[in-house]
Amino acid sequence: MPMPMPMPGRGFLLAGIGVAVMCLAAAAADDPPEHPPDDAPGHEASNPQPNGYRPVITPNGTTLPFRVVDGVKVYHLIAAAVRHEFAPGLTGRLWGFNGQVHGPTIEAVEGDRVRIYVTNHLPEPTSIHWHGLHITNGMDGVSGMTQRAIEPGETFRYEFDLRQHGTFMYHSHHNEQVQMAMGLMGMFVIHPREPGGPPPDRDFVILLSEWKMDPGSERPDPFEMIDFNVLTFNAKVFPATAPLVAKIGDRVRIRIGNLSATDHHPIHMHGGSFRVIETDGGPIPEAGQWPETTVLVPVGSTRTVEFVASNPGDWALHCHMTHHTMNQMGHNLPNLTGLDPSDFDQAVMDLVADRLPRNDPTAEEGTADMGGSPKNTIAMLGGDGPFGYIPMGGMFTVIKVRESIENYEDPGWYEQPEGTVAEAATAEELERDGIDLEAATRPTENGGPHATQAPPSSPDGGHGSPPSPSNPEGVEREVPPQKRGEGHEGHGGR
Amino acid sequence: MRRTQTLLMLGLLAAGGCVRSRTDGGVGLSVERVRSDVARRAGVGEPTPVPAPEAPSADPAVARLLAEPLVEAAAVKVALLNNRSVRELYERLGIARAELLQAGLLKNPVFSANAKFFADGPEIELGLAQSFLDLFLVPLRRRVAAADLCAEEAAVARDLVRLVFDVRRAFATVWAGEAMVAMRREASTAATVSRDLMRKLHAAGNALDTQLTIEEVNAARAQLYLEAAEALAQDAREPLIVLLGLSGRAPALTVAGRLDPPPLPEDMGDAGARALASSLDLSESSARIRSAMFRAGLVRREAWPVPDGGGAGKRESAGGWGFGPEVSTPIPIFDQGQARSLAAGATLRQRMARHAQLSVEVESAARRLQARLTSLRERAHYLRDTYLPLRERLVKEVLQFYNAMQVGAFDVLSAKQQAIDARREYIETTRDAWIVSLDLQELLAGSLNPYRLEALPLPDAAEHPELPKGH
Repeated sequence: MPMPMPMPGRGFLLAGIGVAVMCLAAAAADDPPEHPPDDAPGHEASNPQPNGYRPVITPNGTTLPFRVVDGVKVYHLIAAAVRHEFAPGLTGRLWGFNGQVHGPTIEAVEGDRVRIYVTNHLPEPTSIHWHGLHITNGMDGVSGMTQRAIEPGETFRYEFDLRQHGTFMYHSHHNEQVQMAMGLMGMFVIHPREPGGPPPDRDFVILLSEWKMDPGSERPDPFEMIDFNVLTFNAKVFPATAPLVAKIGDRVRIRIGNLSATDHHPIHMHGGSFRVIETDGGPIPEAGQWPETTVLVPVGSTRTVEFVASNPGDWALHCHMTHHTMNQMGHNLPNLTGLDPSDFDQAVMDLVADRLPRNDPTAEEGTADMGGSPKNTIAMLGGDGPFGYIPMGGMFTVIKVRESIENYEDPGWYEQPEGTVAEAATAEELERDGIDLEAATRPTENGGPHATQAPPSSPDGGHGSPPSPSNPEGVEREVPPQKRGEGHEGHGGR
Repeated sequence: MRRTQTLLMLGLLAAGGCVRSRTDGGVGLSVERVRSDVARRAGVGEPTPVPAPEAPSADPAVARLLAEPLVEAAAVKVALLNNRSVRELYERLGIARAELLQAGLLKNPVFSANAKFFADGPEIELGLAQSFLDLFLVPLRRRVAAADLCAEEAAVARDLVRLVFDVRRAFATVWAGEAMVAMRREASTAATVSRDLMRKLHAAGNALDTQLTIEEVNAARAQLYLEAAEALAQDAREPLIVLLGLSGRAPALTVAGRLDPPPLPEDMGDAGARALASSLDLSESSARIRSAMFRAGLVRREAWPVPDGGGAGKRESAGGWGFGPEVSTPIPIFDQGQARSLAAGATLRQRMARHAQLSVEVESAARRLQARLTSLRERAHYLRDTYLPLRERLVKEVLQFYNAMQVGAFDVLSAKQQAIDARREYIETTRDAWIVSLDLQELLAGSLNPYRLEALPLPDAAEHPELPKGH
């Protein structure tokens, strides 16, 4: 059954010509214009379509428009160079589709016949693989094996029936390690022709990927195999990742695909649990679903999770690989844990006369920063939060669950009800609960402090063991955290 | 070739007239002429007094100059006032002047007396003889001596010019040695700081023994380099102290130097022609040729059979005196002066050949030093204006990576150490450029210094920069 076209045919054609001209110019100069502002309908409430499916939301992304010609849904993907902003301060010279990175989400319905034109404005051949789709072999997009590569300037036609529903992906299948490292990928969502129940209230699509962008560089390094330092949700890193907004009671679906080069990502949700309802292999029977708070999304796979938003607040959704929530993290630093980093800063400052404190957002206001950072970098930076600096980046976003909101625009930070926020304990509270801080700093046999709760009186009337002979004080004292480091310790304790 | 020699000889004879007119003065005139000439050629300013033979260090002017941080011009004045070899050089003029005086004197007449005793009384013969040949030879001898005096004046002036530039070179070497010590001290500080940080890291259990040992090795190596640089700097002071003529306890010299490449000498267009025109070596050589030429004429005259003449008186034993002229003359049967004449001719031709070859060497040295100076100046300017700023830029960029937490403090310190080390090449090149500039100035001031034409060693290249990889 033909779907109503989201964009009139004339408009589609004009837009297509516009994008094509833009991409041609960009390809000619290999210096594409800035990514146009995101126009994704991600944060407005989307109504179900007449056949019952509710369009997906691609945070920070868009859905590919189409038109229907003789019952066939016609799409057009244009591969070309794109300048993309991962977050303010970090842009990359990438390759994308239709002027964006990643490519727009293709959305259709089970049983549709789709015709997807692919125009290549890259400086090298390419091809597109429809990842997870059950299609005829000649449409599978493996260059050299099931088709010849699409040469620069050529437009290929892919046409096939959609025989399944679920969450899938598309990506380059020619010179993959380069073209995928440069961003040529997108999500492909097929809604069921006959849904088993009502559509979810919020249906999000997130594509995971990873990049090697050395601070100061502008182009991803496609030769990197292990040490990726920009890890993205829909090609954005926190704090530029758009939040996922839901109302209390909404059934929320999150479709997560992973086209990273080598890393599987355990995506963890705070404040509740979800069920994994399907993979790119198909739906998981209810009997096989169980509650989770983390779903591992392997490379080259999709996982779809669902939950009912019931707990108001701002809840983190992030990869639980700790280094995957850092931006451009350096891995060649000396381990300063347990040391005073200011000693090192001072030594450097003394020898390099114009050395000044790094671009640490927690540094005191007015601190000069003549040393600066390399151009085009957001190394180690996170974002501002309602309680201070959020030392997170990369694969990190926020699920914002609210009780009463009129629309799904970003509602801002959650206003915590009084008395529900963790804060510094008062002396009265400590005394009331028998927390003896003095005892907690006395030495034990292994050199560490006591348990924080005071034990019952010992036979000698004291607390804990005496200092060892080799260590009269008996305590291995750690350097107290630096003021600048609070909330932004970073690697190496700085 | 024969025509060239004839022209050269005519020219030399013409020049000899000037020399003759100048030889009328005494030693003071020669000294004054040399002092003025040296001051003009070497750019000393006012001619300095000739050092007194006794205790020149007591000169209050010397003490005054040494009391201040020593700049190059002051060092030159101290050397000219205080270095005993300056006095020694001026004494050569006294000797040459004495020889000129000697050459103008006639041989003394010879008185002879002869008595024989006979039975009838003594027979007495008296005679007084004078060499007539001397009357002809004295002017020639004066010409020879005057030419020799002229040669000595040129040689003394050249040696004083060389002394001035030796002082300037020694000064530049001391200055460069101290700049090197300062650089090595800074490098050692950086290595020590890096080692101390690694010690902290190691003590905290965050670093390997090997990482600490590497830092210890680097710090020890930097300390060794510093000590070597200090020893070389101390060693470089002694030649300057000797040139300044300072004795007793090692004086505490505070040397004020410069770290910029030298300027090009003015009018570098035809350094060869300038060097030829101003060469004191060629002036000396010309005077030696004139001397040999006059000596050849003298030798020929000496072979003439000119009789000695005089008068003789005789008293016979009988008691009567008789007087009459007396003439004696050699008979050139065997020795006609051929050998001396041949030797004089050979000496003349030898000096002419040497003069011609010396001209070639002076011109070549000018070209060679000019090319060296141009190359070294360009290298020093490139190091100062391009290379060192690039090394500093690299430090700043590594610092930015430190700020971005991509590299650690050790990487910044390592980049800084490399940037410091790169200054070694600049110091060495600037020093060499100054010394070659002084070599060329010395040549243009008239002194061809063969010791300065030895090949210049190329400085060791600085370390290649490396991207920091962290520890």
